[in-house]
Amino acid sequence: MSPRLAPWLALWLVWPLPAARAEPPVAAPPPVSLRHLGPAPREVRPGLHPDVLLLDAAGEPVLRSARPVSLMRSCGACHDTAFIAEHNYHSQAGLDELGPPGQAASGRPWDAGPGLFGRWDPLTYRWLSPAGATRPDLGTAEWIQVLGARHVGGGPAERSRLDGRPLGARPPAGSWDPDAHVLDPLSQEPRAWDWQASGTAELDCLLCHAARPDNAARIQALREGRFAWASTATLLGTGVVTREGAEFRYAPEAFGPDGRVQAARLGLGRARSEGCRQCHGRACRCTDPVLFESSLENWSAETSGTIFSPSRMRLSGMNLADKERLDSPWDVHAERLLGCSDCHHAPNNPAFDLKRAPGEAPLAHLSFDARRTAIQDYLLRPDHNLVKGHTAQGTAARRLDGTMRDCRDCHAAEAVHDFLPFKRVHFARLACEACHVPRSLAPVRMTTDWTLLGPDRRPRVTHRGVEGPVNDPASLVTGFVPALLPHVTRTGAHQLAPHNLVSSWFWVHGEPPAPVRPLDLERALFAGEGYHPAVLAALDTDGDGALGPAELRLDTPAKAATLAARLEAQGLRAPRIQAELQPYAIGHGVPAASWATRACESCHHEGGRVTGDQLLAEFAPGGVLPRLVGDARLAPGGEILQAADGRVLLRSAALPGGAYVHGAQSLAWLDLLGLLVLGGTTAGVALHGGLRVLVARRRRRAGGR
Amino acid sequence: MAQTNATAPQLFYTLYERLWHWLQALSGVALIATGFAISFPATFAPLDFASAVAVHHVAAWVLLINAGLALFYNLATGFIRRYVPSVRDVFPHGMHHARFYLLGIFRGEPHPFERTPERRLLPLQKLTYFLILNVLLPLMAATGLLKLGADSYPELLGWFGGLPVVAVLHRAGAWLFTAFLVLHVYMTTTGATWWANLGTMLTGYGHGECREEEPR
Repeated sequence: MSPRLAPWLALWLVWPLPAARAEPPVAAPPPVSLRHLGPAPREVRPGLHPDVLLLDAAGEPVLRSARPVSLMRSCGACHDTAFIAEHNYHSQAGLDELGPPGQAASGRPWDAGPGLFGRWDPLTYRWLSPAGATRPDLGTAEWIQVLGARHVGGGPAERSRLDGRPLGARPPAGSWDPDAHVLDPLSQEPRAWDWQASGTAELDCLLCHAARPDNAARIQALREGRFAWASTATLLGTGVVTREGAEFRYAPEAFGPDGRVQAARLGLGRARSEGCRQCHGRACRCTDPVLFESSLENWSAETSGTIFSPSRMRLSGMNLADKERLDSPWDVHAERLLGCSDCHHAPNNPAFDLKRAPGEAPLAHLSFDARRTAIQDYLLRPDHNLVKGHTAQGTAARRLDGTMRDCRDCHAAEAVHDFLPFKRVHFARLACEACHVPRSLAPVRMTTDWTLLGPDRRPRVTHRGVEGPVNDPASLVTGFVPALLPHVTRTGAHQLAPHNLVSSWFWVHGEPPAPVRPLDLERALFAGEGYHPAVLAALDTDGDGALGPAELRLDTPAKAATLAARLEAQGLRAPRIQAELQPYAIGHGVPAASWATRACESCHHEGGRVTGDQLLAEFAPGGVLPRLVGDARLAPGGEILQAADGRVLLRSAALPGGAYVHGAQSLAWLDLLGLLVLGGTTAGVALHGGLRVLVARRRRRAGGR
Repeated sequence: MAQTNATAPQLFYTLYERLWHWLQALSGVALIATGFAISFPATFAPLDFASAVAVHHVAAWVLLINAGLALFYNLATGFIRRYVPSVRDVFPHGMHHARFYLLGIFRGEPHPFERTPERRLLPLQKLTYFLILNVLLPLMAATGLLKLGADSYPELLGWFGGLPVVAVLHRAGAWLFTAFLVLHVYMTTTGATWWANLGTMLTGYGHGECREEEPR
């Protein structure tokens, strides 16, 4: 090496050192993932919730007063329970959306609103009758008894729909005051309800926020008409209270020296999925093997096939067809640790970035709003108008529709659908569930026929997706392919989304019409323990003196006329059969991604999922075809018709929701015209060619060329 | 009418023109077949829907690029004039031509027009191609491109009424194109012999239009 170069080389070697010393390389922090949380702790750590002083409605500790627990007072010590009850569509149940009968979006003349309180449902059938009804069915008190099982309390279970005052605050008015009267079970005449004895059913915070609420005991208290004790009954099993006969007794040993109950004993905390399933469906289980139970208490599974469980399908207790191959969880989101409240959260929960504040336009200049409710403000007034989706059946609190994050708010769909041509078109026109729930593997309700009652005095019900009686464990569950119907989204666009279609037939009477009460129907159909002789004579086709399942159907005008006459004999004016179609959107029960359909032909096919006929019922009772309910948020079009074999079908519109689906579209007029042009051309060519051959042969025979 | 049968075969179509023609024929048939498979998947089992769509797109691009190259070629060479019908091509030539196909061809009359390499298109042919190239092909190309661009330019598709309008027009055009194809294939048999025109398009060489024998 040249001596002259040595200093430069040394300088070159040394030069970077100070810089390297000044900025030592910093190791990137490991990415944080669920894995870093480690295994679950062996013992559940105590929550942050403080111990609770259980108070009665007068603010006295219940241990001292022995009166029912008032959660509005007990929880109200720290939380603004009045705010929570008011900003809570689960509690309001449509009370805040009531209007005059006949103006509800459903289109039913007897509906007064869109919620559980005010919107008649043919599955439960009972009618919340308005003031002045000539043949009332449910008053508010009986509504709580009958339908309170799926109501969290508060709202209409506390306050009058007429004046907003507490129930029982005023004396009965008129012969039928829906706030004050119930039908006497013996005389079937209105009688005053004793609100002082029953109390009202407060918003039951424990139902969702306690670890092990005793919902069965709560429902029993409601059915017994002991509304004020419903919240207390929820505490059964915690050791705080016991029930002996009709009496609830508090256990002093469960209370601390200061009269408080440990929060850990109640398991107070954020709402768990287990809490939601108490009303939304028993099949919504987190850990148990899934067993199907066809019941209206298993609501979401019964109506839309919803099973939100991480359990593998093949491990279920159901007799599923091809079970060994069903290696997907019932819902992949449940498997990935998501719970109901992760999507259906409180809109002001600072842990979540709100998609859009209810009623507010998005801030166009912000892609992310960093402002958050302070945690103490949130805990004081957590908004219980939970963010919700946008479905056909979610008719209450529609002002909040679409506030929930949908699939594409979490999933980068366009990054993982490379196989799919025309991605944007498909994403715009199809709900994700259209492909990701290609088959629902739970039996679902197909029809409810209230035009006749069985010997058990229940309606005739059919299901799809099962071969044999629905609740027979030996029946093979085959599942069903949901119908793709054009759903009108929050933005007004049309999107094909999977639905289960439930048709119902029932009697109405009078003008404006109202549903025939169950008691009137029973009186018309039965005489003592058996069917009325006139009914038996009309329906007993095999003459064995009993009505079998095959005979319990009004499939001829004569049979329907007999029943109408029997109803008229009960004093009902102009009884006639009505039928309606209620779609239930399918948004849960999403299996593993590998189950998503990739078969283009499932839709791009005449007779496929988009344009194929959907079976609604095996026959139309009374020959009446159902009409779509008015608030189903489906694009108009399509036709309900009766096939030659009597089955009732839904035939899609020519362009369902304005969508042109290649391969599925029936353009009969155009294709006929095209065939005429092509056929005419071919025929003309054949004729021309044939004549040329004929003339040429003749000419040859004549000796010409 | 001049008899050209005795003369030596003339070059009607260059290699490029023949390649162009057969490529268009191939892509056209592929488009019709796959279009049928897309529109009636239940009645066209050989090809599944996804494959039909993929082949349809490839064939469409082949046809479009080929048509573009042909346009350039014909513009550059000035041959484009061959495709422009004159008033005389409609009347009286078109009338004479039509009369020949309706009557003359059965009476053994000679073809009313001589086909030469320079005047390779006969009057009715000119009129038909003029409509095909200026109406049907642009309609199919435009509606096809709009459909193809539905993902990237949905608003463009929307301006034309969306798929319910564009797809219906495309399907209507497809029926017409199919009918044209049947007619076109048949008309190749009306040369001097039933295979003469086909042979000319295969070899490039032919004798013009006059018949030397009737079709059998």
